[in-house]
Amino acid sequence: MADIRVEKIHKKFGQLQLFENFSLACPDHMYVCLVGPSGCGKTTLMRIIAGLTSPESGDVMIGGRRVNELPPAARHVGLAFQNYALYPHLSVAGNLAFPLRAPIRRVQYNEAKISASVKRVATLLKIDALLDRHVNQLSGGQQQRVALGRALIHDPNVLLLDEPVTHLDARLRHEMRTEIKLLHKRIGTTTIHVTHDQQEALAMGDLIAVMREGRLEQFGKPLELYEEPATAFVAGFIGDPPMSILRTSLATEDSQPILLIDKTTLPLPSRLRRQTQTAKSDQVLVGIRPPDITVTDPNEGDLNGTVYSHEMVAREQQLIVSIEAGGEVRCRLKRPIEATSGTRVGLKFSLANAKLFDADSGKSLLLGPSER
Amino acid sequence: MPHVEFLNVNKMYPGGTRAVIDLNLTVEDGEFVCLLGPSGCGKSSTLRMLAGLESITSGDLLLDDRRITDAPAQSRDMAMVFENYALYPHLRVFDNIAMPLVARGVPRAEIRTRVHQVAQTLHISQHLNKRPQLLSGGERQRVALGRAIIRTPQLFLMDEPLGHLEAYLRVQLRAEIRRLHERLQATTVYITHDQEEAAAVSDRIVVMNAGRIQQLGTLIDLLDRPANRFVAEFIGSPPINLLYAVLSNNGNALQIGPTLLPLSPPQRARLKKVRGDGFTFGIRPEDISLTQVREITTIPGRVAVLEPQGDKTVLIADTPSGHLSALVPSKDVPQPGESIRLRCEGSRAHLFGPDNEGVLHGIG
Amino acid sequence: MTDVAITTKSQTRAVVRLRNWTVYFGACAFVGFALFPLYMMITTSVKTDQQAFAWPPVWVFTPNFNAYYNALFVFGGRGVGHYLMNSLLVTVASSALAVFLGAMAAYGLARFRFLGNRDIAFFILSTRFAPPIGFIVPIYLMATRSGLLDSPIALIIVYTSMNLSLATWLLRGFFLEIPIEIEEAALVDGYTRWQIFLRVALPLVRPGLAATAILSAILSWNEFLFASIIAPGNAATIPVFLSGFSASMNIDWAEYMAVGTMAILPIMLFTLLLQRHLVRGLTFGAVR
Repeated sequence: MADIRVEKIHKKFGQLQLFENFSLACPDHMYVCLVGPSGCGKTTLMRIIAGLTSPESGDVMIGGRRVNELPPAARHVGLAFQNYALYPHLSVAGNLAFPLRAPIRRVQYNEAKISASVKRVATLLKIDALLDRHVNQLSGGQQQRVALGRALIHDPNVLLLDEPVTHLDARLRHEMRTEIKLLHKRIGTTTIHVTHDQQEALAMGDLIAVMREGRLEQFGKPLELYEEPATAFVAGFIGDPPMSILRTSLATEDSQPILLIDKTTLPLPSRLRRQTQTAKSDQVLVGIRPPDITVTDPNEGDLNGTVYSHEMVAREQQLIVSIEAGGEVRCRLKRPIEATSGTRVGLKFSLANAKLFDADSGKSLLLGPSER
Repeated sequence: MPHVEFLNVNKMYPGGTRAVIDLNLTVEDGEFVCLLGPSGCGKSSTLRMLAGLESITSGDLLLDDRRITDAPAQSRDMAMVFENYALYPHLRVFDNIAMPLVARGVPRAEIRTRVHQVAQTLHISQHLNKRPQLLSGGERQRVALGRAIIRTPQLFLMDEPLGHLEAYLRVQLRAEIRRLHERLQATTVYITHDQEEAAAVSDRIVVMNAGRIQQLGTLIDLLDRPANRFVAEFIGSPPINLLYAVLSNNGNALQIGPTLLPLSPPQRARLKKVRGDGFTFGIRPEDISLTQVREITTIPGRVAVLEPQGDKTVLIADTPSGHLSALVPSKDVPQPGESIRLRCEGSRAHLFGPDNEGVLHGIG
Repeated sequence: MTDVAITTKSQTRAVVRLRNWTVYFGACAFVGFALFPLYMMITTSVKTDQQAFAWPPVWVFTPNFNAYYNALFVFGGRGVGHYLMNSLLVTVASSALAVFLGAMAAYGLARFRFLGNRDIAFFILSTRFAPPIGFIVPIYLMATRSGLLDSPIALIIVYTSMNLSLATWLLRGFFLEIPIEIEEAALVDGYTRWQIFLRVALPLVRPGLAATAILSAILSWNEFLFASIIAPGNAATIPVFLSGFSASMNIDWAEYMAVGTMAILPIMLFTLLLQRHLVRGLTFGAVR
């Protein structure tokens, strides 16, 4: 068990400077999810922690010790690869035992102990019936459990999971999520879970780090990210449903601040008015959720738009509407309407629960000007 | 735009595998139909028979009332999009899209106009001079789509076109595919194993398993009245809860662990007629709620895991009948370890018999 | 991807069947024609002269292995046995060295990033481009000066270096096929690079090792040019020894055929033995 800290790391990815002064601290025993679109650096960060690649500068600390110079073998981490990367020439038992047979562990593990550990881990992951099978005889879900078992068997300080459930079909994915969470509750190893699926991150993480293009957008508990997004990106990325982000300008009407989209005015509730006082520029991003958007007939709402796409999500109809003034919003309707792409609709907004962000930095206006 | 009819179609492979069994299916003119099921269910074989890439062992295939059972693939005027794009790596994007027209001897000037049109529709105009390997997965799939739509065929066939893409790209592109379908008003048959994708993109869903159609209908049809346990398990996210249930001793209620759910007289009569022991009680997480009522009609449990989604959280509880998932509001959600009581919305519950066929939809 | 048509009429089926039979018969005839000399040689070596020249040919007979005994110990004075041993020694040693050294070089070229990696790889392959005969004189001089003329060691050195380029190039391709994640998993599991080479990489290129061993063995066993120049006498290999016998001698056919059979049998057996390792896709499906 150990906490993980990366401090001020710099890392190039090809020609691109991916990480610049990047820092993150994962407390001991926590399940931390790194989530973000491809290219955000989450996998690279995980590989840096594992020791498979090195940062150009900065410190990698595991359990308070600086491990930059240590090879992966000496860091005592367990890594479950996205593509499982099982040893094809070994059986399931052979795969599980392989880490324990490494020469550096020869002193710790004799044959009896290896046998016992393999049995213990196999039972824990419900693959004890498969010990003699060969890797290519296993299904995807079974291979994934073997990969997990191999990562756990030598009691690592840190468990690294690279998209562990991405390649499983939907039903199995839900099952495995719960199983992994329950496993973590039992074992308590500090875990870092990398995924591009925000739903997965929200469901599984004790703490979530949202990353984009090598930068940390926000790091906190799941519901914190949902209810108090620090940036417009987090607001539009996290949660079901995610927020729709619209570009507006700040203006005044009757000496009260209002929002202007093209020529339409949207009055601001008092709590948002206070936030605008510290705004640096007059370009403001508004984050708004589907329950606060009502679909009406054209010209009967605040703005007009055309339906870009429509789909059924659970029992609701989701419309993505392109606003004539620019931008897109996501609406959810409990009672579906007749709509195809191109249908014109009117939109009515309620800003009671909206969030405001500075258009240049993307940062929330809730944070004081010094934090932005 | 034609409608498609499968009449008693069977597909048997040389080794003896029966991939498709007694398939009867009509796809209406201009409809977007999804073949949904796990791998090996027969959906791919069905699509390939429609395309002419596989022979039909027995039965007939009609296109606009014309028998095309033995017609070769080239004559069927259908366009197909594959899971792995199947782009020609040695040709530029422009030539990849133009390929179907070149093969038909369309004049070059016309090819240029049409390719540019298609590229604009799919937002890939800037890639026309590049080779496929320089493009991302999403862009390559758009090129594959372009190649399919340029011929304005009678029918679009798509075999898991989004399988290899990241989650957010899949969401984006499936909206594009639906838009294309609406714009061209083309009859489309689409394959996927992802029920969320099927629900998002299609007019009707055909659920298949082990070579047979299990049920077909809109998403709401499948959610409200699943014909059997397989359909109930396959459709819906988060997945449905399935618990073991029996008729109570006096026959008036359904017994699930220590919980009793009262049955109406017609329901009691219906269940008494069922042969065999033990039913499967299905209830969706969104139809379970937390309750303070501690009665025999509510299910006792202890919170095991919480999976926040946003406004709602999936609460997974340990109950006497096993794990139960409930979709509850994120505000004031009980913490792991707490004792809770769960109430099932009876009118939304399903009961499946020992043969896994649907027996009741709605309890109480 | 078309399956056998099941709904064809029975007449068509008959036509298809006749076509298949004609093809099979033709194929058998061709194979029979190709293998006939081999059959001829082996049977002649175990027949008496009488049986060998009988017409119509004798199909059933009791094999007589006298010819083999003579061939091994008497033929051409010393018997072919000594030269068989030379060939075996040189072939086994040079193949083993080529595979072992080649594997290490190939792994380094496949896995490690260093300046000139691609150039070195190509250079190694390029040593096969020039016709070997151009090197005869320098090699001869080196052998003489080092006192290794007519010793198996000289041949082993030459053959190893000849086989090494092919071995390295082939095995490099096989190592590149192994998904890198598997080796990274081993790194995280606690193994050093060398341990990974021995315990993960080598087992996974088993087909490559088998193929390389077979090719090297065939090359070394059949090589004539260099052997005739630098091992002309005591250390001669089978090809060299056999070349010394032209048709001017009184031909004892059975013995002569026996020598031929023994010349090809070891390589055939070796290949048959290793064949089961030439399986495709040891790492296929390991990484999705």
